[in-house]
Amino acid sequence: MIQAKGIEERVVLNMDRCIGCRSCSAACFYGHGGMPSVSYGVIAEGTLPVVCRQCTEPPCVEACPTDALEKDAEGVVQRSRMLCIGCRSCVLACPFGVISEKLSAHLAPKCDLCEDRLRAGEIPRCVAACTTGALRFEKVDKVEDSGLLLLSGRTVGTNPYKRR
Amino acid sequence: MHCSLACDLAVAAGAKDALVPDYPPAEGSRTRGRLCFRGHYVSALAGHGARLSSAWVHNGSIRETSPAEAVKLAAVKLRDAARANSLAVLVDGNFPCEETAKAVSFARERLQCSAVAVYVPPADEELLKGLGDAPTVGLEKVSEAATVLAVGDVFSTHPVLAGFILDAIGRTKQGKLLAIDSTIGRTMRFAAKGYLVRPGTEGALLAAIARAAGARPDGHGHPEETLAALSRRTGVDEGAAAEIVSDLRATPGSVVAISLPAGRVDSPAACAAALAAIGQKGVAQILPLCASGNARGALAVATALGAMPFGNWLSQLLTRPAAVILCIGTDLLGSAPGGIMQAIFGGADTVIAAASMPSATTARADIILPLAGWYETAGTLISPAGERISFGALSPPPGGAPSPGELADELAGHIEGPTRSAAGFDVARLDTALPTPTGLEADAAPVPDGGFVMVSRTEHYELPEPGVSRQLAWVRLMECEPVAVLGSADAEGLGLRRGDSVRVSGADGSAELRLDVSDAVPPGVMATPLGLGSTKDLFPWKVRANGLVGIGPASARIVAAQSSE
Repeated sequence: MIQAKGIEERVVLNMDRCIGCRSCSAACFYGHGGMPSVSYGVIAEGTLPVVCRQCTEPPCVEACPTDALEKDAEGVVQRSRMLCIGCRSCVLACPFGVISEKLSAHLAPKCDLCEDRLRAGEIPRCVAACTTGALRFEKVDKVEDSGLLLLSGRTVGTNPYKRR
Repeated sequence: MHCSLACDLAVAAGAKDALVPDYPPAEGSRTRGRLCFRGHYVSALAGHGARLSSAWVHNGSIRETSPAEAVKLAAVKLRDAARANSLAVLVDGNFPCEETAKAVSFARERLQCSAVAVYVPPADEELLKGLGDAPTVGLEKVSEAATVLAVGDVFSTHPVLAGFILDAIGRTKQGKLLAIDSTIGRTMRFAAKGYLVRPGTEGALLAAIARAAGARPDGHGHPEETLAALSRRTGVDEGAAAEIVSDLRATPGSVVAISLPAGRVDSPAACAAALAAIGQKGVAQILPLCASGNARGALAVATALGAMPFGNWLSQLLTRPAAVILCIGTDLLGSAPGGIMQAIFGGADTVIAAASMPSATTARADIILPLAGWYETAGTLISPAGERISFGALSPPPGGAPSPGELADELAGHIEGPTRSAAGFDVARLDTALPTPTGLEADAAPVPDGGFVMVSRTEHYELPEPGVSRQLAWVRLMECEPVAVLGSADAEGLGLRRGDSVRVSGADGSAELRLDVSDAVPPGVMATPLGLGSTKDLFPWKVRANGLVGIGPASARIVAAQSSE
């Protein structure tokens, strides 16, 4: 059940199950009117999705010259389309590279945890679309309960050297 | 349908009447709530701005007209060509069985046309007919398996299946995934054991596996050979076949999942025949995976209603061109190599295309009739494993465009002739067993002749840019710059770098592609996504005497077109 105040869950990636099919990207694209917010990291021959971590102290918010980015009451970093001027300062500021350089209609795409679905008690689209269950929406400190190792931030797996 | 997993597709109304994908429920849906990128593209396809909702006629100049007028005009052309025995009809096999049956019966019975065929991707037809009466299983059996042998990159061709396989092999300590492929794709990266075979030798290895299991695979063109000779030819260890049989037998209910899109390179029919022997020995159950969701259903309907195999249809038109060609729902000109299509369509006086989107075929057509998309029709499809699955229409077609069955009824209303039987066509009684063609043949492994062996590769695409693809059924709407992928040593040897434009020349055509470099592609091999952009001309079609159409094998030369700098 998603809490009304303070979203504690985050999108967590299980490296052991991600096949890099990019269905998460397609889901994000079509669910956000053509502005996808799922970026990719390439590790050797593998492609893994990376999504916004909704940082506690988001550098993107600090960098934005027009205050288009702000952290709302539920802890989600939101972008105002009206205020965004497409300067890409947030792209440069994000230490995780999850804000895409590609602008759509001169706006930098930004993950909003599918707030429309959260309000309806549903999970974000990328998680719903994931064909292998690699993307999960859960509290980060709970992943070890399922036998997974927290590798870094929101990436989990049984062993960082097991696959690929 | 998008692919043979037959995922539950649904759309919700979005902003500005856009259709956005809706997610099937995790419980109770066929694919447990999962929906890959291809399923998402349905919404883009359904709501695409270029959808055809009116009719067009080309008579010196092209003019828009009402569908009713175009239907009347088309009916006259069809009637006259039928009387002169110079008519050919091709029906797309992506629609539900009921729709395909109505369209085929209109052509066979009302028009009395003998040159009628149903189009499914050639590799699908090869695979299904090559399997014959081998025991096949559906998706739910994968969940019960502990050992899965994947032939071809099934994780790339059918991403939703990957979740089922990972769940299955993770349930037990003995569970494992084995993979056979000619490049290192997504599946092989997850496999406990991967068998990287030389392109064109997949069937030979499968035949060896069947023999190791005690079967005598026949009729597929792979002679028995010593393990040493097999090893030299395939590039895998001598003990590979026995090892695979041992792994499959180690756990009950093992499954072999096979997905061999065209151009992968040995004939899918020959591979399937070898696999059938494995299945008949009880070593494993077979899960065939097709590009088209209703390949088996369409082929079964075609057989039941006396349509000819697609290969025979092509052969006939190559030797005796038709004056009028009617294409219902299929973009044959966009799918097949240019040379063969020029021979078939070049001699036609009139091409009538019923389509939901502009395509290469509609560009050639003299009469264009709007048609509902397959996702806008309801009915029954038959999965490759023979399961009957009911589907509802996703959304109404724009402008009330008719389904193939409705169009057939409209055309029939203007043409006198025998009563059609398909009104009473009963899918529940449809015999889904497909006749096994005689003379199945393995394709000889291509000899590079100074160049590279080409294989098709489904992994490379750029998402999520929308656009239009001339691809086969599994990718309907995707704009993607086609790439040629070489290993790093080969690229360096040619003085090429990632991003260079290269000209790839095959026996039947050439294309300018962007180069990507990946050591997932072995030395001497070039991989390219077949069907995207102009790559279709690089893979020749072989029209076989048994009615099957083989695609590949092929070899190619590569030179720089221009540097990336």
